Parts: sequence; structure tokens; C-alpha cells
Amino acid sequence: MKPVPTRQIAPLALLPIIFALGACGGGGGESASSASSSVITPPAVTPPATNSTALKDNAVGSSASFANFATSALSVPVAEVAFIGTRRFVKVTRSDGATVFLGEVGASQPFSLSVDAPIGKRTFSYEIFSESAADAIVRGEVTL
Amino acid sequence: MNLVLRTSLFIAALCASLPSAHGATVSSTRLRGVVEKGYGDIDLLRAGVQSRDLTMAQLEAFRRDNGGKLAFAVDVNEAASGLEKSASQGVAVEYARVEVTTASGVVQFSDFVTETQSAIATAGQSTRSLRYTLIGDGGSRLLTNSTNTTSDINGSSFDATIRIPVSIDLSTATAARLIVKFLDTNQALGDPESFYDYSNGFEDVAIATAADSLYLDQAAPGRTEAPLVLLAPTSTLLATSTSPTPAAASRAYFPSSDQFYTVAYEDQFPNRGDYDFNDLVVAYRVYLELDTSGNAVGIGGEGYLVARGGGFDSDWHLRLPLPATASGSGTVTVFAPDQLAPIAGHPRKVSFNGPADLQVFTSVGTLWRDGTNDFVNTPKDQALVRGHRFTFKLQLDSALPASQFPVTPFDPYLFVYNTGYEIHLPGRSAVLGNSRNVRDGRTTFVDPSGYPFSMILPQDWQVPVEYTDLGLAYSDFLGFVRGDLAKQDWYARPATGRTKATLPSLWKW
Repeated sequence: MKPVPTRQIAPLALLPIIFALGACGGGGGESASSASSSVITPPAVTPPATNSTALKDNAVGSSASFANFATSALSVPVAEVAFIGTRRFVKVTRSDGATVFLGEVGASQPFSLSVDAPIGKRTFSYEIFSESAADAIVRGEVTL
Repeated sequence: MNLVLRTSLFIAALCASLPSAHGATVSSTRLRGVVEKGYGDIDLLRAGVQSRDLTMAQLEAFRRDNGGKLAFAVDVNEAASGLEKSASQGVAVEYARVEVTTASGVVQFSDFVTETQSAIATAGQSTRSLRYTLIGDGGSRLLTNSTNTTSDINGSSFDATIRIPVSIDLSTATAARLIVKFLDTNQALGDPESFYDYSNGFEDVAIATAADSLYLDQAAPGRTEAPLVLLAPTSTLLATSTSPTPAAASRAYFPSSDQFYTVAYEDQFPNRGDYDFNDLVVAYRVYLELDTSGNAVGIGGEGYLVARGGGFDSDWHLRLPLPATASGSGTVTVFAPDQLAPIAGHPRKVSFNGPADLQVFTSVGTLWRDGTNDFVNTPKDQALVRGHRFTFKLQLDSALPASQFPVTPFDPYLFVYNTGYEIHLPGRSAVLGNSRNVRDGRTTFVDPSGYPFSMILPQDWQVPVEYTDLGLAYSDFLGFVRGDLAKQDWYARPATGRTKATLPSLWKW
């Protein structure tokens, strides 16, 4: 909790002024004489307008999302790679270079991984390598 | 200290008190020579302290003590690079050999082993292969392994060992040298090469007794946080070595190995606050240790206090929503800013059955202040300061299949003393029996305007200045939550003067 500061930004919302006319004159629209009553068309009613981006001035709907990260499943084709070495290692990095997985995996089974990354950074690179210097590192890229 | 280490302590003390077969006392001795810029040519007769210079008879005593090998302790001392940090540093060894001068010439012994290996590419190479490594920590954690106060390992920060089989009697030789070269790694590949590079130094070296070597191997400083640690084949290790349980084969990092989630709270729940989302800000990351079948065998993590802009006092929890069948134990450790020694009462042991609810920071309002100011890193004109750090490490009693891994970004939550409420991320549930949430029916962590009371943000998000509405600190935020795809990186554009520069370079230490 903290003390509430003096409000520094006045609400920008302007209440629309609506001149409503009473139901004067009743029918008789066919009578030219009835036109003597002035009719003022009210402006279209719009939600309170605001240029403020402050959260306190803006409700958001139930569909709003505050998630800045998204989780996805990523598969690396380890079993499809033929190596001289017997051990299999995998490294997975995000497009910004951040490592999300590094280690030894089973050589003959599918390898999948749950990754969590900032929304908008959905491209991942992987390396598959062995313990043998004779095996070139196999690289690939996956966009989720 | 566990029973095994206590036992090794006893053995170390016992060995230290016994004369060798040649009558020379065996006591680990720091050598004058060092490894500098990745290379060392070290005279084994010259000790760090001249009065402790060694004789060939003493070297022979060391050799016999180690079962026909010479054992060397190395104090790993590297600049942070890649995953390297004060708590975990490493180098790879290109070669190490002992050269002995005898009456008939110089004899070289070039086979060597260390406790650990990793798959590493040499500089200029694009393929990886297994290389021996030395892993340690930053150096302030002084070892107290022995009641033998003459051992230079005692009270030192030595980390890892190199053992070199020497098959001749050294007592009749005239000189002996250790020559060691660290590996130039291909740092362009990132980790593990960046971690196991050498850049700093110098590294102190000691000739070690079998007991002290065993102690270091079991203590394994820095090993749990190092990447791609593979225990060397047991056939190459010293027969008496009983290395700790092999490190897990793999690690999955959330959100990544070198980045953090940032969680920010409004602490006046269920009342709407000032929406500056700075009442408490914590950065954290978590890793899962996996076996080669992809099952989790351990969980660890670390984090930092980033900012505190609320006057309420609270506990910060990191709850790992594990299945009911999971169980295990471990430790939580909290460090005061810029300190490598834990605060009083830490490391704190924890155990769990089902979800692991780690009460990481207790009474943050007491723990972390800026002088007399309740607020830290949120007032506009206040200088930025670093916050407390935490680490945790949990071992699961049985491996957890991938389908049961805890959902990210886990469940970081507050328990606010002043209100008695828990504050979780939207969609999470209240979990504490002593909170008011369930009793008061306050179990939905979204306010009537649709806003949450806590959010997960990328680490580059900067904390709004005190009383500054998040939507004013970041004018694109409102569009983002309303679904504008062009504003997904809203946090990269703070309004000038409305945020504090709480970037990782400030709070990560």
C-alpha cells in the first residue's frame, strides 16, 4: 500500500450534451403546419472518449490478454540423424540466442521439449551433435 | 555438510597426520607457479610459501598417497562469460603432463583425467568432442575440509582436480614440472564453449593429497550450475573416488539459461491499486534437470529482488505445481546484495509432497529497504540499488515424465501480511490455509476492470516510477492487451522519464 497521490491527469472524457425534445406535437406529420416545431437531431451517442492510455481510465474486456510469454512444444529430429558417435546432444536456442535446452538425449527416440518464450519470439534454432569430432553439427530452425 | 563429507574430513585429518612410506609428511601444498592466460609451466618443488618448498622425496610421497598418480587441485578463476557466473565457472583442459628429470633424461607423463567432461568445439573447429573440464565457483566460499591446518586446501577456494599417472619413483629424480594448457574453445558457438573458455586467471594450483582430492571431487564446487556436465568414465577416475550422483544429462531452461521472468505485483488486492505494478518486482528463472529419457530428476533456479514500491509487507513464494505423486527435497538459499555467503538461516532445507511451495523471501519489507525508505528502486529521484538473490535446488525422489512437468511460468505469488490475501497470476488458485482468499471468496485474481494484480514480463521491462500507471509508463501496453499484434514488444518502448532503469545489468549480480 502507498499513499494516494494528488491526481495529476484530469479525465479527458467529455460528456456529450444531448438536447432532447419532448414528444411535443404528437403525430400530424403530414401537416405542414406542424413543422413550426423545431427538431434538433441529437449527435450520435459514443462511448466516453479518452486519449489516455492509463489503465485506470480504460477497462478491458474479458478477451484481453496479459500474457507476454507463450508456451509451445518443439520437436527436434534426433532419431533421424546418422552419426558415428553413439551419444546424442541437443542444444536449442531462441532467435535472440538465449539457450532454452542443452544436454544429452536418447539417440533413438523422438525428442520434444516445452519452450516458453516472449510473444513474438517464436523462432528457435537447434543443434544436434555427438561426442565424436567426426560428426558435423546438424542444425535446423523451427518457427512455432 | 553431509555424512560422506564428514567422513572424508576424518580421512583427510587422519592421512595428514600419517607419515608416508618414505617418511615424508603428506600435506597438500599450494605451488608458486600458476596457470596464467590458459597456460602453466609449474615447478613442483617450489611452494607458494618458500618455507614449504618440496623435496623429490615428498613428491614421491604424494605419488604413493595417490596410488601412483600425482593429483593437483586447481582454483578455477574465470570471468563471467556465457553461463559463467560467480557461482559456477569452468575451463576445458587441452593437455596436462608431468615432466620428470632423472639421471637418464626427461620422462613425460601425459595421460591425465579430471572428474568431468563436456562436448566442446575447439577454436576454429565446427565439431564438438569430449574434453576434460575443470569446474569451480567464484572463490569466496572457503573450504574447511580438514582439521589439518597445514593443508593449503584448508581455508582455500580450490575447486577441481587433475590426476596424472606417474609410473616411476620420484625420490631419485632431480626435478619435476607440471605443464598444463587450457583449451581455446570456439566461443562463437555460445554455450557450452563460452562457459568452458578461459579468459581470466590466474589459476592457483596445489599438489594434493588423496584425501584432499577426494574432498574436492565430492564437494564439486560450481558443478550443479554448469552446462553439459558429463562425468568422466569411471574407469579413468581414481579408484577411491566416489563422485557425487552424476549431474543430470540435460537442462531445460525457463525462460532461458541467461534470461529471467520478471513478475510484478499490485499488492492492494482485492482493491485496485495505482496500477504502477511495482509494489514488488522479482526476477526469476527455473531449470529442469532431465535424464536421457527426458524425465525430470531435479529442479533448480535463481532470482533477484528488483524493486519494491509498496509499503505493505509480504512473503514472496515460488510455487512449482508438481503433481500430487511427486516428492522430493532440497534447499533454498538467500543472499544479501553482492554477497556470496548466504544470509542467516540459509541454506534452508525444504521437502515436498505434491506441489513444491518455496517461501523464498520472507517479510520482504523487513528484508529489503533503502535506508529508511520503504520503497526501493521506484521513487523517481532515488538511486538504484541491488537486491537480494536466491537460489534453489530440489531433487525429485522419482523421475517425473514430461507430461507432468509444472506449467510455466510456474506460480510466483505474494502473501501480504497487512491484508491477509494471497496474490497470484490470473488463473491460479489460492493455496495457503491461513490466507483470507477462500474465506472471503477472493479467489479470482482479476479486478472488475479486467486487470490482473500480477503479471509476468520479460526481463528488459523497466519498473514504472512510483505512482505512474503502467499504461502511462508504456503507451503501447493498452493496445497490446487489446490484441494489437504490432504492440507485442510494448515493453521495449518505455515513456521517457516514467520508468526506472531496472535492467538486468542493475539487478543481476
